[in-house]
Amino acid sequence: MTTIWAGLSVGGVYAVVALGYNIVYIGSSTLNFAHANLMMLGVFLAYWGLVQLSWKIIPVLVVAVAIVAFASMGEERVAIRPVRHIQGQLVTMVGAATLITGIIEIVWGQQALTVPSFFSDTPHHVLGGAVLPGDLAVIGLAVVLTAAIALVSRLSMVGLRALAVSEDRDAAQLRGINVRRMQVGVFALAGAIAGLLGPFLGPLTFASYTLPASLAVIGFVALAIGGYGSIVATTVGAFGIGLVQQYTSRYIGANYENLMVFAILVVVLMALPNGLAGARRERVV
Amino acid sequence: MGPWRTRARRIPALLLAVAAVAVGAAACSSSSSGGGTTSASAASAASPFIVVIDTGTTGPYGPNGTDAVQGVEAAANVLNQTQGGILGHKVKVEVLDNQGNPSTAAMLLEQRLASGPKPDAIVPGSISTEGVVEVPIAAAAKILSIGTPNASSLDDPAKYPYNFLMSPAANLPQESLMAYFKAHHYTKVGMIYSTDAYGASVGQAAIAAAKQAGITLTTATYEDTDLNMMAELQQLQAAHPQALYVQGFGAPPGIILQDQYALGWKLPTVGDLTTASTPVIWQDSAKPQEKGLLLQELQVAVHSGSQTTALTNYIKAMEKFGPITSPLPTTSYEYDAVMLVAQAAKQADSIATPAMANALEHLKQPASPLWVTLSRYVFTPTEHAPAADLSNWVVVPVSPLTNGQYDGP
Repeated sequence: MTTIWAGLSVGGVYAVVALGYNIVYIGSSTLNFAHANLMMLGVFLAYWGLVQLSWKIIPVLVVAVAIVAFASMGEERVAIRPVRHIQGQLVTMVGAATLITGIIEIVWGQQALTVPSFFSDTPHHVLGGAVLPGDLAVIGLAVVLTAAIALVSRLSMVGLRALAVSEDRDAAQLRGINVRRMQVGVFALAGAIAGLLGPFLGPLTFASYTLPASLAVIGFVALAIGGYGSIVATTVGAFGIGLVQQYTSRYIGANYENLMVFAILVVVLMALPNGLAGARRERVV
Repeated sequence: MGPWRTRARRIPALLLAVAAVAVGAAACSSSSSGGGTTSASAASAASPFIVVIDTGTTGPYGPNGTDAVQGVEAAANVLNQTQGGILGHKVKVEVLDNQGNPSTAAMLLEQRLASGPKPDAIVPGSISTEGVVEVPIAAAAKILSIGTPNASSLDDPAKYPYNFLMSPAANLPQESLMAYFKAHHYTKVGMIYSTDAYGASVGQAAIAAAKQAGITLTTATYEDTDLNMMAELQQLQAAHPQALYVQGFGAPPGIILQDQYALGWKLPTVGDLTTASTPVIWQDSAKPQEKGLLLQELQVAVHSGSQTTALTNYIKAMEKFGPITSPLPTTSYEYDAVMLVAQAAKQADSIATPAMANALEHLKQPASPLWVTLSRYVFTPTEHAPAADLSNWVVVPVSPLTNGQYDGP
């Protein structure tokens, strides 16, 4: 059971990364390559607030949410909106990611930093497996955020508008949806969630400028397995990836954990080209 | 017409450049002080002993490069203040910031050698990617090079007779640690190490050293991007080792100790040299997950009641750059590099490159060495990486750092 908890904890981290990708994708049809870097910013802001300023958790959360949301909106304004084509956006998003990492390196340096947990450090035995309260919090957050975003996207007018933009941007605009405002809004929301998660992820991952390397690629794999725009399926995929990684490391070896993840990705995409929950569409032939 | 016109315009510029290089080369040869011809007695006392360090003080490895430069500058300051320099020549340090880019490193060094007085020694960067481009340039210019860049290709006295490596062979700290385990009657040890190039080399050396010591070493590896190490630790736990050996730098050692604590797996745990140089380890030394943690470290990074004059001088010199917040070996190898050159020059009574290289190959241990990291450096004509005594490495409990040193046992 300990391995399962470990897999779910890692999967929870991937799930919240993929959630950020999905929110932006649904509302703007953009795959935000800099999202993992925004999450790293949230973790460093948690270190800044909790350690350097010795603030309580609530003000740290408020400030982290505000700053990362603002940074995400800035990315949208500077690196996404002025660039029309997806090829150009790929370059500018990588540029934004590099810029965020560079600023973090200048401000906080290159050494890993400890982010204190506001949960107990004492491990618990749950269902026969050892797990830290911080791990349980990340698993819970991934589930709650997934449920909340899935419900909002299906049941609220804002969510339906976002889905409409995702389905057909031009048609949505013709129907009176303010596509630009929607795009700014989803970037702000994804950034705010990244900021909110900083103090939760930091104690597990440490604040390190190499963090995006741990988050970005597997976050995209979770997105591909679940299906672009499929909130719940992506989270299921992320938890599955976490479990596969942990069991592969446990019984085969760490060298094979990502190999196994990509093998599963290939199998899933061969069987279900649009991912676990991807819709099949008719096309004229 | 267009390309020809461009080419025609370039010809005078090319001629000028060639002329400038020729003049520069002539100037260099006339002002050379350490190129193999100048003896101490013949040299003007006013001419400095020039040490060039070409490393990235900015860029991705900026902190490494800055540490290396501070080590070299500290040695120069100590030599100038306590010894009057090297054989009467004041030591002058020139820093080339290559921003961590090997191509820039090569270009800067070539440019420096083409202008100004010839350096007497070169510190070829602080990491291997710098060393592999800088050492051949120094060798072609017949200048002594000595530093921490560690690559097997650089330890080739036939090809690079004037290049010396500061880092001892990777097997020595591992042999020292296995001797520690053996002395504590641990016959079954678990080891977790990174799959990156350095981690793999430490892992291989540890496996060989354990075999030699008759210790059963069970190993598990991790990726540096791993966010959780529970599975790897459980894999090791299944082998029921008596002690755990942790290798890693940055976040991974912190994650390993956190997960070991979550597992409730209590056993003697020793972090390797890189773990000991990881800030999260000494910063979190009071945390429950580090309770009982031991670290392998060089003796120089462990506080002892008595301190040699050389160590006192070194620490004082380093304090001039600000509070010492990293373990001393992050700067002490570069410090020692300059001190070894000074000792070699003294032994040879010359600052000529062949004479200093020969002296390094047959270095006599002085009563009070100027260096601080290893008690003794042993180079030979066929081995330019130092042999060192295993007692240079010790195992100590984790503690906060004071002046770059752990508290000690």
